[in-house]
Amino acid sequence: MPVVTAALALTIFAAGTVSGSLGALLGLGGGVFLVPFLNLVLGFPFSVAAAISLTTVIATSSTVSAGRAGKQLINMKLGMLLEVATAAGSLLGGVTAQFVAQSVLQKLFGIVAVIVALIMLSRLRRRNVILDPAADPGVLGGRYHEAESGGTVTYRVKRLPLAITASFVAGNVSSLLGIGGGIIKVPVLNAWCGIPLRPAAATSAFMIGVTATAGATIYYGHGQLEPALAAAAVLGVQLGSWGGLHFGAAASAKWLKILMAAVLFILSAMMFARGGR
Amino acid sequence: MTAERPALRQAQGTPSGSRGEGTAPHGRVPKLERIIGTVLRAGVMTSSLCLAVGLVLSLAGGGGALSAFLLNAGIIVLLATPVARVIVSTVQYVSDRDWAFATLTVIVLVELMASAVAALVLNRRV
Repeated sequence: MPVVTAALALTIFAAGTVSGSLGALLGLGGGVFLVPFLNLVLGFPFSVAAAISLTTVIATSSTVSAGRAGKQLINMKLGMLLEVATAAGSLLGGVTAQFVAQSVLQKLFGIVAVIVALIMLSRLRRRNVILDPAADPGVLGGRYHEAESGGTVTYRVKRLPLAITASFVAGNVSSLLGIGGGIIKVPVLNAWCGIPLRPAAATSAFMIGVTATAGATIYYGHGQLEPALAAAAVLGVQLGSWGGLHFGAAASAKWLKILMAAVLFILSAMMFARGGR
Repeated sequence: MTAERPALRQAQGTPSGSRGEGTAPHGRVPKLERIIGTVLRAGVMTSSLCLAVGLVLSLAGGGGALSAFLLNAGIIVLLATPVARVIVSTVQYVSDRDWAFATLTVIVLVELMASAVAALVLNRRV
């Protein structure tokens, strides 16, 4: 366990701020940036890095969902159904992480970072909406007010088994690697399960709190979470995501995504280089 | 707009008797969503405050008992917030007699408790 000094806490606070603002700008959790920083740059064991990152993931999920509750973007019923799968995946991943070598986790992170980058570069943008306001969304579907078109749109959930499978995998990867897992769920829910991008992202962010809690509890209970460093990271990420959301409109999302995809390719290569030793 | 929203109405846990609000997006915030929003906001604020004060104390004073207590309390409140959110959902689904979703949220609670148990078991073994 790393020794807590003021310099280390400030470094982690700053890293959290950068990860949080990048995450908010890109619509990702910041974990995918924070974990490699803690593991590769500061040299923390992978599990210690993942544990710290998971606490920031929980804080982000709670903050974002508190702001969105009541705005019809979060599909709570679908979220609570899929949470059964994400929490199971996360529980399994958190236990598995205790028995897997760091080099394996680094290689897995390398693979996931490449996938995240590729998804970011080819962001799926299918609309998936039924414009008839009287249409029945079914038990799990939903209806929300779409700001762009000014209308109320309806959607139905398709291929539920696929959504459940993706949620299980996302939960598993989440607690193994210390990321939120939204990057796995959101494209699947959006591209194949009929859910428009904004409710898919809002519902995923809502579920991530429960997912990451299942994983973080294992790391914390197992003594792999240093509370002071987690505090620095959580406060940094809170500040960063607040900043990212408030000042993000000025940034060019397209160039930011291309830049961050490049960063992720580099991080992936570094993880493979370290994990291969 | 008078079209009903059966799924959303259930999903948001609005108790029976409040029909006929229509689908206006600016209408009253459904009860369960309102409670969940409050729980999440309170949890995040409490945990951030504990973590901030605990961190400052531990860096200033070299880490006394109070700072360790506050830091751990902050982490525990952070971890407990999503759990509390699931518990209020269970209570709401039970009072709405929505047994399917009451069961699903109970399963999620069991999974969350299993992660705490797993941590204890791992601690004993390793």
